[in-house]
This record gives sequence, C-alpha cells and structure tokens, in this order.
Amino acid sequence: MSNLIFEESTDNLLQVNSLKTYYKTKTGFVKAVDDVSLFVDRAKVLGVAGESGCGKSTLVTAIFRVTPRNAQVMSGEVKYKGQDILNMDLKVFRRDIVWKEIAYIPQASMDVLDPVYKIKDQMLETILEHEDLSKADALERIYKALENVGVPAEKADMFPHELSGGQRQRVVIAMALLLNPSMIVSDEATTALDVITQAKILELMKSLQENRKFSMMFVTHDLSLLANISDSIAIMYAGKLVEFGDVEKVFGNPLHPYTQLLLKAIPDLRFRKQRRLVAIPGFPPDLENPPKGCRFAPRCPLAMPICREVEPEFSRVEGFHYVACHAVNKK
Amino acid sequence: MIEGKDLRVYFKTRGVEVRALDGVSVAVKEKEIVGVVGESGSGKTTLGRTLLNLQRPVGGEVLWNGKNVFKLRGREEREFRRRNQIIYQNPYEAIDIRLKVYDVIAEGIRVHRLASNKEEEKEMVMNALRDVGLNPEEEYAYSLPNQLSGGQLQRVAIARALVLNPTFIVADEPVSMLDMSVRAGILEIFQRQREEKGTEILMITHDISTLGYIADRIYVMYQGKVIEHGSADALLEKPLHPYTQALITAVPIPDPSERAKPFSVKIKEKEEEYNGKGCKYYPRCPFAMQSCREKEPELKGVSSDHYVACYLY
Repeated sequence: MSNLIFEESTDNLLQVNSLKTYYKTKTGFVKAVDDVSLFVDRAKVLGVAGESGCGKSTLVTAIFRVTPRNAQVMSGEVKYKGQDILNMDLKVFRRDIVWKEIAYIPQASMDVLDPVYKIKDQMLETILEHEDLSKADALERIYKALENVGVPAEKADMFPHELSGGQRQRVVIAMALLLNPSMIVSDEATTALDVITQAKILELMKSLQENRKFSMMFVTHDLSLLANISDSIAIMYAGKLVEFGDVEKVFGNPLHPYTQLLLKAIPDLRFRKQRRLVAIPGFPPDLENPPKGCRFAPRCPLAMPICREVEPEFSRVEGFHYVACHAVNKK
Repeated sequence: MIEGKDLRVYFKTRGVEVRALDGVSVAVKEKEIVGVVGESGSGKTTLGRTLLNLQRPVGGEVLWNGKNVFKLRGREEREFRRRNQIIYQNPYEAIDIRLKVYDVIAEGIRVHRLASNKEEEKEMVMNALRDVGLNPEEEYAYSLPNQLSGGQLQRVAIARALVLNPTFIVADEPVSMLDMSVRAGILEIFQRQREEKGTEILMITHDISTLGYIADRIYVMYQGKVIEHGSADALLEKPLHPYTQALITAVPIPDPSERAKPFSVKIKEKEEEYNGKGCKYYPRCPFAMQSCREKEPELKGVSSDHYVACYLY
C-alpha cells in the first residue's frame, strides 16, 4: 500500500503503517487486518467504520497489543509520537503508554467494569498503577473525573450494577480520562445504548474532546454516528482500508461503492419518503481465502473484469480523499 | 386483526411492584405494520408477549378477530399459536444450535401437522428459505446455525415463523443486533410478507428512524404507558410529546453539515425524583409544569389519527 496518505497528516500522533495482523488457524491465516495504513492527528477525531468482521476490532486490539494468542503481526508498524509501540518492551508499553497516553473506551456492558469492586476502587487501581499519588489525592481526582462526565461523585461508592447503562458508560469514559491521555480509542462505545443515551454520550465525548484537546479514534459499525464527531473517516472492508479522507469529502462525495452502499443503508428520517433503504447484497468474504483482486468485487454493483483480477491501489483522488477502487477515476 | 385493551402487567421483585404495562391499548389492523418504540424498560417487549398470550396480564384483554385469546382452548388455541408468531432480537438465543436449519424450520410444521408427507414438508421448508432470501436453499437447509452469520440466522428465525403462515407477527427488535448493511434486507422481508400475504406486523424497536421506513402507525411507550400514537406520517412529521421529540432528535444524522443537531436533544441532565402520581416523564421533561407533577395526563386526540398524553396540548 502506498503511504502517500501520511502527507495529509499535519500533526500526527498515531500512525499505523502497512499493518498486517493475521490469525493463525489450523488451515492457514485469517487476514483480519491486511496492509492497513492510517493516522490520527493531534486533537482530531478519526472515525473508523465497517461491518462486523471487517477487522476494526483487530486493529484496535493490535494497537493496544492485546490480540488473542493466535494473532500475529506479520508486518507493518504502529507509531505513537514517533515511537514504535509494537516492538516496545511490553512492560514499558503497559506502564507508560496504555492509559497514560492512549486510553480505551470499550462497548458499554456489565463486563467492562468488575462487578465485585466499587466504582472508586476500580478507578483507584488505574491511577495508582501508573502514578505515585496519595490515596486521598487520587480520590479527589476520581470525584472530579466523575463530575466531569455528569455522574454525581457519590456514585463512586456504588457497585457497577447499581448504575444505569448510560451511567456505566460515563464511568468508563471517566476512567479512560483519569490519567489525562493524549489519545482515546473507543470501540463501539455507544452501540448497546438507547438512542437518547447514545446521543448524550456522543455529545459528552465530543465536548470532552474539544475541551481537553485529545485525539480520538472512534470505531463503530454505524457510519451515521461518525458524521457528527469526526474530522476524518476511514472505511474498512474485509481487512482492507477502502476509503480514507476528510469527513466532508467522504460523506459528501463517497467514492467507494461500499461506502456508497453503507450510506444508503442508514435510515434517515429526513428522506424517508424519497429514498428506500438499501441492503448490501451478499456477505463479507472468508478472510482465510479472500477473493482475488478487490475483496468487495463479489458484492459490488460496479464490478468489472479487472476487479476480480487485480487488487485496486489505494490512491488519492482529490485533496485528502483516498480510495481503493478501479471504478473511480484517479487524478 | 389483533387488539389489546387496557392491558396491565405488573411484576413484583423484592416487594417492589413494577408496572411493565399500565393500561396499554393497541390495535394492529389488517395488512398493517405497526411500530412500538421506547427505551429499554418501557414495556414494549412485555406488550408483544402479552398480545401473543405468552404473558398473562393482571387486567385487560386481547382480542384476536374478536375472540378473547386468554379464553381460547384446544383446537382454537392451537390455531392461535400457529397464526401468531414472534421473532426475537437475538437469533443465536432463539434458535437451537444443535438442530440443522432444516429441522429448525420443520419443527413447527411437525408440531402443527401441516404437512401430510415428507415431500410436502421439504417443499414448505425450501419455500420458506427462499422467501427469506437464503439462496441456494438446499445448502442453507443442511447447515448448522453456527455456520451462519447473524443476519443469515435472523433470516432462518423469520423463515421458521413464516412457514406456519401466520396472520400476525411480533418482531421484537429484529434488526438491532445486526449490522446496518443487512438491516434493510430483513425489513424488506416483512414488507413483502405484508404486501403479498397481508400479514399484520407489530415491530418493536428502540430506534424510531427504522420505523419511519416501514411502519404505518407508531406507538411511543414510556414506562409502561403509551404516551403518543398515530400514523407514522403525523407522528414523525409533527411529534408532540417531548419524549417523542427527544427520540427523533437523538437519531444521528449522516451528514457532517448538520453537526450540531444530534446534540440538541432536549432532556434534563439531572433527573428529579418521581413523586408517584404525576406524569411518568416529568422528571426528565424540560417543559414540566406544576400540573404534570400532580396527575398523569390521559391520551387525547389532537386529530383523527394522532393521540398524545401530555398537558402541553
């Protein structure tokens, strides 16, 4: 993959460079992340979208180095502030990078917070693992962190099951921000929530991001969420990055047929009379034996003979807007 | 036609009484797709289960073509069970993973003795698979559930219901577990079923935007009550209840130029304590007045196809 894209970066914080992460199976390799390059600039939000099984979560786990045991980084690198974090000593990585520099907000569910510890004890652990702070000072910070996300400080003495889903997600966000990281990675952070709670959590994340100026990588299957919070958008399909660009460009002029179809699959009340919802025919391919050529070709309405033979190159179309598709005119 | 009248379902947990349905009336008329929307805990699933006689209410009745379903016995009850089907949110839990897809679908045919021989049974199963878009059907019929994706498995769950030729289907969050990209395909099956066979459908969801594309009428539930209902057009274009308005503004808009909109959801951050007698929504309602705290508002018609329970109107 050509790494022209890094030219678009103005002040890059995280850079994923031709990353390949495969899962080893009895019969071969599942190419879950296959030559993916992207970047997140300082104080900017990158939205990453794709269907289940497109490699989004593998990408996230690879960045945090928590992939399952059968996963292997075949090639490529992940750089954070210029440092290669994939090859860094794991202990140093966990002490100095995770939570302190890059924090994680997972999907809201009971499993994220330990059900047998009070909220404050889980948060204390996060602080005391990384920083030399008195317990009183740490507690002070916890109460403040909770209030910042709209959770009353007294909830710190409660157990996770005593909170509502929305409040638990707020606690998880507070926890991610405890050590004042420069970057947040959120993986389907609002997916299990009610629509209203989801809107509230998104609003919270966006305002925290704007006030504290951290970078964010927001991973989701729901492209519609990204329009409102992202600066740039990366669309993944079957382990590949298929489109990457400025948020206005990707939504205003989606180039890859997959992105176009994803957008047509979103219910939009403004146009419910004019448009029909579109389903993408077929199913994502088996990533152990992905189709030759473009991986989307078997489902693509515009597929040409060349699409089944040659993998399209990822190239620039206009400004910060890249796509991997034979059907798009390259400039 | 199926009709629930003043349904009341109360659950008792550790001495606390939860009113899952607190006097709910709904009707699904012939050839209609009716949406029920609300957040978790609003009672929408209980409503679906009660209409299908899977949950006994403490008050109220369900009429199926004029007959009280809680009084059906014998042949009539079997007929009711066959003609009224449910589709659940999570197909992984709704389907026995040890059975082949063929047997998952054939089970209902066998229970209701709809096929006189094996060939007829097979034909019915294959037709059902084709109806839900699982092609080639031979291949899917002999797969095991764990070989299928969530979307494919949900199609199997729908085929299992359709094979019995139902006249009414409760679809309880049938797409919320699925990827955006496959949702439209599932919704299409319901629409086609309605158009071709006239099946009545009650679609339960927390996502009002999906209903905009499929429902003829919509009921909005909040804590065991219907707080607004009407034709989809009236309700979506002129939502009256502050909660319905919040539900609609909370829908993310896939357009970066409308950035500010989803964040304009009007709902109170700090909730008041509910006093046990007023409107259930006043603790979160930005427009709450004194009267809202004193007595629950009743559903009132603002037009012939639009009803709302709110003192603002």
